[in-house]
Amino acid sequence: MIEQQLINGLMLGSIYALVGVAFSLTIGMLNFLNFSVPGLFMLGGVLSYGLLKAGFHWSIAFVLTIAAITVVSLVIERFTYRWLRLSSPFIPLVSSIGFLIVLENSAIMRFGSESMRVPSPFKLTDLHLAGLFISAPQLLGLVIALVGAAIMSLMLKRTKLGRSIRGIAENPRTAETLGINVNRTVSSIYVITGIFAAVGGILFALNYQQVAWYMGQEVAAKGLAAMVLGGMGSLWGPVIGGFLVGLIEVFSIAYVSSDAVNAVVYGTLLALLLCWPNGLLGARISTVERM
Amino acid sequence: MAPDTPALAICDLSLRFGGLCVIESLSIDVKRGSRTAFIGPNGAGKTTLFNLLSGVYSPTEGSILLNGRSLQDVPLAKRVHAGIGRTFQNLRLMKHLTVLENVMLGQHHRTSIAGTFVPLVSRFNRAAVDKALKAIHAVGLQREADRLAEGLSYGMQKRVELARALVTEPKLLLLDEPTAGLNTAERSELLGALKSAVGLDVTILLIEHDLGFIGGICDHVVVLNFGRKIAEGTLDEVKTDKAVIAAYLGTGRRAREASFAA
Amino acid sequence: MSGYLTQVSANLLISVILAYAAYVPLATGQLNIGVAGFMCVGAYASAVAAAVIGLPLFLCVIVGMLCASGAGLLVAISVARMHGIYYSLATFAFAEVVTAVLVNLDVVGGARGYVVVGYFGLNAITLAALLVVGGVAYMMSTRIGLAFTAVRNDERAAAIFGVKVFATKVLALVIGAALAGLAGSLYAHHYSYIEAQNFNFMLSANAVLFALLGGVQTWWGPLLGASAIALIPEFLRTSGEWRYIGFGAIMIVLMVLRPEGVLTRATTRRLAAITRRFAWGKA
Repeated sequence: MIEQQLINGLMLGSIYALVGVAFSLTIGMLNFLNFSVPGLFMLGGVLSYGLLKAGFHWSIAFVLTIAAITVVSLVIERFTYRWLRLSSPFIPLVSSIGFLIVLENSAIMRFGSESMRVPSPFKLTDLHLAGLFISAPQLLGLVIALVGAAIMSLMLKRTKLGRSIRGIAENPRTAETLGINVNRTVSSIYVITGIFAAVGGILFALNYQQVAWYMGQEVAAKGLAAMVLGGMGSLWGPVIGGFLVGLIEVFSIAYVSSDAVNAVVYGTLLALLLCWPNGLLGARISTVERM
Repeated sequence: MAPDTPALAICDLSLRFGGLCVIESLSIDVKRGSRTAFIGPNGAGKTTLFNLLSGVYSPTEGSILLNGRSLQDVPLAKRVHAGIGRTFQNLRLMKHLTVLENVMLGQHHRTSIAGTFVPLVSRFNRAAVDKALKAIHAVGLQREADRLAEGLSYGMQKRVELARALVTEPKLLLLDEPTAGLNTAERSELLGALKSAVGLDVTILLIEHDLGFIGGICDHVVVLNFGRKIAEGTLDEVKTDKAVIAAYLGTGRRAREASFAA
Repeated sequence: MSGYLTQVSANLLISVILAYAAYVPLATGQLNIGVAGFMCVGAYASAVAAAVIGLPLFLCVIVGMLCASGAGLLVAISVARMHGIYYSLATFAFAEVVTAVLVNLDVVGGARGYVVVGYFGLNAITLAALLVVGGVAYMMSTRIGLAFTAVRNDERAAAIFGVKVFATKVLALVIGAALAGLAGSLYAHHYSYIEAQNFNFMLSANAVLFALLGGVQTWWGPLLGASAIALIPEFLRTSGEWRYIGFGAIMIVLMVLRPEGVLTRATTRRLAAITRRFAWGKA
């Protein structure tokens, strides 16, 4: 029934929203396409699986996973964003592809190439509302996506870190002369991006109860579509875009076929890029050069 | 084209970015063959004016006439055809290409279809290479023609930019702070190169802070501040103009008593 | 020639052509991370032309290249005016769309793959590779190459000197797509079997790394990059995931230490000078 599909789509979309925000943060603030986001997404899912399987309590598993993601994000930053070497905008992009490859193959080596079943970590009641079914992880995902975006939005507007981030996005070169600690701010952006991606991975694991080394690849396309649809470089754009992509996916599975999903989602992404690259909330990527 | 058509006629030119007015109601006439300097505090709009002439920006109001022809419908990539050559405040060379290759970019707009498919630096392209070498010779860099631009000193790189602008065979030559970063010897070298290499029918517009350099070549000076023209005349007239002094030094007692040292 | 050597050579030569497919857009500063998609279009178009229309092999390759170029043109026209990120994203999405559609298209075999008629031996592939390398090297030595370099370095300055930036970028993208289509067509008719899933992101990442490792400043950078990456694992006999991790690590380290690539113009000149001194010394 359509309403159930709508619910499913929105719930699914919350994961895409998180990944979309992660992509959008690096494009908007650091001006490059960050391919390590799907890798971190996968790492979040796979690590939490590993820790749960090893018997840790879910709260510890998730905290440890986030901690690990923070460390990995800092390592990636160290090796990706060479501040002064911005001669080519695709240098950090290529590095991030390298990290994606390293992360995925490390996961294969440690966990094998098959998908793994995630044990259910806690008992939460599912909701039954007006004949509709909403599972606990689905609702959790929706809440986390919205709350996460709201916190991020507040942070960008009200805190010192937020101002520093916006300063760097505006003009990286003068940011330093304005007293912004560029290194620390850039590191924070990487960590925040990693956390958004990893939380998406954890939610994915909880929702589908399955993780695999390739889980980042499919979600990547949907996260990117969410970002472009919503507006590259914005915060709430990918959130809205994520929900829309979730709906598109659910409806294509229901009314076309499950095989066609990839073609539809990637096709949507391509069509958006060719015809409507600004998306809903507008893009703000290119920095204005001074001659 | 009448002999006394100004090479450049700027009429009521304004450029606004949203609420920010960068150039305001600027009107200047530049005689053909003259050497005009633009001075003014940083941020006065001098480079922005050059960008308007180059076609990087489109004016919000007003007109620009080059030798009597309006530049309004001439897009950025066609301005060099119209006869505008230019150097840049922050060097814009291709660092890992040779001096010769960099200078030959200046001929890009004039190359025929046939010339497109021959190797650039070869005997099949003799005429173009010779023209570029002539410009390189004119700025005194003939011994560096085959060196990579990144291996040259800053002063030499500035001269490469000049050669590149010269080889476009401009009618209007825009030089944006050509002496910035040069030492005294390099400055006089550049002044000599300018005097000997640039034909008398080429009109030069020069953004500069070095008054001595300006005095060595320019016959006319325009002073800008906050996007407006505040004075115009010979160097001596401008140096003692009250509005100009106020712009640079403020309006305190000492400023009122000051004049520009030579 | 032994079967193993033939395979390594074929692999190397096709990798070289792919490297140049990635190199030409890179020469104008645009990163095509969907090279595999254009290769896939060329492969399937060529295979279909051979099996369904029955064209002579030579023409099938042309068909493959034309289809790939057409796709490249469509993508290029839409995004060449925008920030480079859009081009990278669009080529990425394009490659995924192509694979996703072809995997479901049972008329060309779908997920089970497609058998290809017509065979290209090593001689044909070698000839093609030589033509590509020679052609690109020649093109880069002309005014076109200068325009490419100018656009890569500084689009605005290039425009000020009369370079038609948009047309230049589109030209580079279309040539790159055509070369990828050529590689796909050669691949299809040599291995006689193609699966859409094989034209994946890793393949595109490979092509990009071939070009970047060697460096985009000289015309033979991509040749060096492709040779190094295609041949070194053969010597090291590494396998499986470590090979890929090594690959990823190379990408990371390269971007940190030497993003211009191994062969910069300055390095090439120094090498030439040293070689000359050596030659004179011996004589």
